[in-house]
Amino acid sequence: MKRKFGIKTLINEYTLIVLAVFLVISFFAIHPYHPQGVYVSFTKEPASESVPSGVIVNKINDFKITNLSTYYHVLNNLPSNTVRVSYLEESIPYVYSEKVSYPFLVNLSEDPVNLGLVVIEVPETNLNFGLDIEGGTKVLLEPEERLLPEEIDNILGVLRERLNIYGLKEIPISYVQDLSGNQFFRLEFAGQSQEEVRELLEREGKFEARIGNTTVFTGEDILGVCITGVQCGLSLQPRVLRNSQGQETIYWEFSFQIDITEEAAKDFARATANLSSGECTAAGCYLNQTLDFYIDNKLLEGGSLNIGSSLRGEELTTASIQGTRPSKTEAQSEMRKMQAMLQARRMPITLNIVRAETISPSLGRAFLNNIFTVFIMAIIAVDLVIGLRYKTFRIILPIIFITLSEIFITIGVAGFIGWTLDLASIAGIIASVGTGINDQIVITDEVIRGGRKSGKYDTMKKRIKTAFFIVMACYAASVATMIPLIFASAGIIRGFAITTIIGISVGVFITRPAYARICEHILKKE
Amino acid sequence: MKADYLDKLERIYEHDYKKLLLIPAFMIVFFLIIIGLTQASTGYPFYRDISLKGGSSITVYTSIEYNLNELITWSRSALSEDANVRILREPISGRIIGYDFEFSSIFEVEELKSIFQERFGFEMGDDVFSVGTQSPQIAGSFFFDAIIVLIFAFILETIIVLYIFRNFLPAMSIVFSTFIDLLLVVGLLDLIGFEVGLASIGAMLMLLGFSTDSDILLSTSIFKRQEGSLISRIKSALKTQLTMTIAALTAFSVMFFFSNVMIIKQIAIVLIFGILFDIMTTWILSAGLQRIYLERRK
Repeated sequence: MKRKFGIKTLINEYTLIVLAVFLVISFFAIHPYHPQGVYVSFTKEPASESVPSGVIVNKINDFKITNLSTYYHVLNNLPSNTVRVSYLEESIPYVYSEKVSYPFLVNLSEDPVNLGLVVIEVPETNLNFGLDIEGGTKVLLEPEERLLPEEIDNILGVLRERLNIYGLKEIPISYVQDLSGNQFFRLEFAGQSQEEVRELLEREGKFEARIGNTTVFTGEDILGVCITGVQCGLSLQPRVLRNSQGQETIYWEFSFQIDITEEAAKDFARATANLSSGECTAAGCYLNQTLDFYIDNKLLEGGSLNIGSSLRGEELTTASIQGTRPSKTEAQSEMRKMQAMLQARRMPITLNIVRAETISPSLGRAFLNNIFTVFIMAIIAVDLVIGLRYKTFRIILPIIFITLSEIFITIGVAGFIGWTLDLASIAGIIASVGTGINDQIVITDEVIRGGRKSGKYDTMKKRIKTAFFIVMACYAASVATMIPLIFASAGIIRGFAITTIIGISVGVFITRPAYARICEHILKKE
Repeated sequence: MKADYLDKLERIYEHDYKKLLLIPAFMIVFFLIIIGLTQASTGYPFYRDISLKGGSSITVYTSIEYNLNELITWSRSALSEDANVRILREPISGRIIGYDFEFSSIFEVEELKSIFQERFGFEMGDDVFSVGTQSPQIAGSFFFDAIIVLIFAFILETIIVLYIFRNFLPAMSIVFSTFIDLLLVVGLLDLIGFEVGLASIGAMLMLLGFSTDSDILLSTSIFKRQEGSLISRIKSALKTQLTMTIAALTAFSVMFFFSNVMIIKQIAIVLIFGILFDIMTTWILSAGLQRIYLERRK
């Protein structure tokens, strides 16, 4: 009988089509191809201003870079101290655009020359692996006192600002709570050791506010920075601006107070007394010099404030820091940043390191290889068992194919959502696929049972429907039991819960329906 | 003769199922005593690893061979404390990858590096020396979370099973047998002195799902299908279950014995014990209880 490929086939085989689609999507998500070069895992000074992390450097000053050894070779043989970095940035999967950084200066006398780029060989896949595989330090900090929500935001901001100051950008910092309500901050450093992290947190930087070259006040002169509450002058308000044509635009203005010493107030008055008027905007008129914030003699990014004209020569122990932005979220974010800068010289409250893990990259890689090897061994062993039971390759091969597809798609989904695969996540994938083989066995038996008997109880569809009833019930139970694990214990094994949920969902909705259909095809031929 | 033997087993299973309930009853009492003893000696129902108890964990990455007993003795004298020491090996070649040390106290990283450097004879740089510390107070909080998560999971499972079966007794017998499964696993872990960590808690949650899997399979055979006798339906479902059990046992046994990653071992051992006990709790305990219910219903 000739088979025509038409709409009817598509509908009948939709489970197989869905499987194929997800395999393709996973292939793109896992992205097992990358261009030549070196991968920037994170940036420090001086490159951090011009080169983002997560890109592939393919040229330095027009010298081609193909791998780590060519990179270091070029670095050690730079003809001048001006460096221009060409890099490839991926806009959509597999499509790269080449960009060139602004030229920046390096110190050629250093050995090795420090561009401020931490580079690794271009990764084989797009998957994010956790620090317990790539190597690095993870810390969990607990504040000594209980924090209000605004204080939590403030600490996050101060931590980010401090790390920025010491040249570490894009460090993942997050706030977590465990089920008992204990508060924690979680930080992950790809390249630092525990001692370096401790120093970063404890170090006290020298804060200065300058007008021109004159220091007007230092960190010690700041008596308080308003973080919470209207009582100390914190506000975030919308304002309406009407232009000459009568058109209205809304912008948002934030303001918060800081208290400084009398000495500092006098210095400020003295420094501003002889300044002339600068520009005037819709928000007001300002003096011709700004108030600049420095930590350890470095100007903070975004740390220059315009000084309102009315403040010229004024001695004020309470000053108001104001700013405007087009949207509320931008204004709030800017306000937090300002508050953080004013506190960044040291942490406003004590944070204790309650958990710290440093993994060496070699060990992390060894663990990953071990898991991979052991898993392949487990699959081979299981397939032998299944082979003994069913005594036919017709069923064994599809089971192997479906098991591998399940892992591939689960990893693909994790890659697609950008989930970081740490050891716990990988353990979750393995455990869920391991227990998932059970459902395939249930389906096989249901289909076989249906194939051998016939009668009013045993139509093929009803058999599969019974199997799926079992599968759906177990699915609901398994997902439900994993959900609390996402929030427990400061999220330490959150990865396990997430990948288990993804794994069993992929199994229930994609791979096992496809397997049932394959089973039907195979058994019809018998 | 083999056929007679199997027939005899079949007869016992078919007719003496009430007497068979003595087996799980005995095991429950035995392991409850073990758990009780553990609780009395440690203050907790199971032995905890660093993630739930606090302490320091150090891994030195090296392929040089050292004597395990010597390392244990040395760590006791160098840090005034007993340590759990493990050798990490590659699964197939057996080549040494490194050494793992676990202590109950928290030490300064610098101090540890210099002590280990002295013993091992090479610099403990970041590529070679991995260290993890966990404060006991926070570990206590994580332990509390783990218990809450387990209780919550049970409540959720009960609700779902009740919803599916809409029949109180079969639902309760499923939840009960799952609970007993977990209890027996904890008891056996206590007996062999295995330390439970957060990963094992995750595995216990998976076990809840797995155990419910087999119980639902059994109950569906008994309640939802009508063809054949009750016993033939149970036998057919048992065949499926045994295949599943052997497959899963094979997979997790390979993982436990050949992996040197602690997380994998902690998950695998819980699942191995759980799967083994599950055969008994599903097919003797739960089946027995449901058959009693069916008979009373007639």
